[in-house]
Amino acid sequence: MVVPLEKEGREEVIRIVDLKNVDVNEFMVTRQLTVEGSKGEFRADIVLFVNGIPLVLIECKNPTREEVDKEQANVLYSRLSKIYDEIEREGKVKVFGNIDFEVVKKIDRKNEKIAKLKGNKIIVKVSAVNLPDNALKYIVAHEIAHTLVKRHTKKFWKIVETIYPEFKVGQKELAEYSKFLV
Amino acid sequence: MLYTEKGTVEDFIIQELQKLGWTYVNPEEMKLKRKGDFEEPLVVEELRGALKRINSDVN
Repeated sequence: MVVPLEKEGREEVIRIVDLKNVDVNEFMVTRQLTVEGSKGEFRADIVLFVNGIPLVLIECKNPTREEVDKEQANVLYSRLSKIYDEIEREGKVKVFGNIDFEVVKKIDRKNEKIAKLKGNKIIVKVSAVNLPDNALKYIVAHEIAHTLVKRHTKKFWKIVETIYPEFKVGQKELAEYSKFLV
Repeated sequence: MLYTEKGTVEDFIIQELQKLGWTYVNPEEMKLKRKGDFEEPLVVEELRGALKRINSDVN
């Protein structure tokens, strides 16, 4: 709080914060403060200034926003892609267009869904990374079947079976592991 | 309703700080206080005023 000041060859001591008379100081809080620097712009959520000096920086995180673990997402994405490539190579079912995957933290509000189809994109919950290959293959076969048949009809299950003849194994594993899919 | 950082966390923190006596300055007012120099992290005018006030005993 005490800075020496060179002035006319002598030193003066000045205070930048008055600790005795606290009310004399200026306490200021602002939000979305931008500071420009040589490496670009920096934006802070909340900054607390005492006497014009930025002393405290607060970064806010929304408790409802969920971020996906990038490493897990990448692992899951490559496993799904590998499974899909195999299915495509076998060529048992003709899929129109290219299917892509997207890994998210959560699909539905109740957090019950593991995967869903959106256009030609299969959206999969990141916690599915904990599933064994059979269960993942079942998920992929199931969603590919949905690109051809919307509802869970007989025809739908026939397609799942065509893609993945032992799909019941994967289905069973999925049920067993579902408790890990938080 | 969409929960935003502004709507939930920021507002709460600012309200609590105001209760403790901090003055809230919104981003627009802050720009004016900084006189358009956004490379300067200090609010120079505030600092100058405070230094004069606090060190009135010093020449």
